[in-house]
Amino acid sequence: MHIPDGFIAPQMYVPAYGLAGAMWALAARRLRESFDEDSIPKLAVLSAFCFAAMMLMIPLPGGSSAHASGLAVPAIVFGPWTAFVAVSLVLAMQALLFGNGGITTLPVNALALGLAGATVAWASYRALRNVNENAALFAAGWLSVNCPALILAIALGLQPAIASTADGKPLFFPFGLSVTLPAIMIPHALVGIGEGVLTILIYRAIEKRGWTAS
Amino acid sequence: MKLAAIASLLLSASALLPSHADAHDIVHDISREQAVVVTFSYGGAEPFSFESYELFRAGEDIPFQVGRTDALGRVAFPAPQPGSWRLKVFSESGHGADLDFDTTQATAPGSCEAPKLGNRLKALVGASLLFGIFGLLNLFVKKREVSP
Repeated sequence: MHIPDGFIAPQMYVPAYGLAGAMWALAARRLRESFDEDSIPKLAVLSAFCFAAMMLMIPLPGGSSAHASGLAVPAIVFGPWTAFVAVSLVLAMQALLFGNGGITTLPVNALALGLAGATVAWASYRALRNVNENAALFAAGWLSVNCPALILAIALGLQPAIASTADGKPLFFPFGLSVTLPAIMIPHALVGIGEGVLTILIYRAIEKRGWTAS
Repeated sequence: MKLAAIASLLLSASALLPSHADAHDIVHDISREQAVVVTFSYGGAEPFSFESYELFRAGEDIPFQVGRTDALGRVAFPAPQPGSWRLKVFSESGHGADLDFDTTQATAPGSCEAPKLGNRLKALVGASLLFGIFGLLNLFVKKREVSP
């Protein structure tokens, strides 16, 4: 789900760096105020889980491929700001060390997955947990994949309108919204089901260890 | 006299017809040449097959070659001479890569191959690094106050 380098125009990634920078500073401040030594090992484990989940590609019908993100659980347990920092760290490592995702596209990926995905997962869990906690966890997992997918589909689909040559040839990414929205959202609607189930399983496992009480 | 002039003009024009028709004829030549082959896959496993690509000579805006990867996720091109190239592959779902590479060293099969690190190994290395980073972070966070 990460957008690689060369697909996003500077007209989009430069402002995105500004916005993400402000959000990272705000998140770091909140993290410093609320974090203690007991939280570190738990966040380390959940971040490593996110990293591993994002690296393992699942082949999809039609020849494409997708991966889980695992970010709903840290968002539910630690809140969206902490999850945003953790996922941003994971994305930065993937881009800098392994060439997955991109450096220019890092803020777009981080804002979509880390901030929007984690916030939606956390909010949906909070809204639904008193109705049915398993449904709340499933919804958090499903939305944590599909909300970022929607944002990234829009970001990619806007590229032909943002950056094209005088004769209309797209400079960065050639497909518009009518192509990117179905191409990205349909597979991720399926991947979200797996992510929802995974969120329930991981949350229940860490709940038994008493991690969710902190 | 006038009739003779028209006749000679028509004759001249008919003499030009075959060469005019040649301009619309696409001739072909089949040969075996060495090609540079770049292979793409999802995480080193599933081939990135039948997806669009654009290949540029370094510094040029007009593509040298465009097309789709083959069933095995490969882009092959007979580089006219060794040099720098930019290859952009992309799918409708936003997957892809934007590579800059040099074929100067690619004189033998596989000699310009990018280093491969399997995704499982990457996940292991990345997870280990994350534990290391959080371990360092642990040195700087506040201690939880223990009530007496």
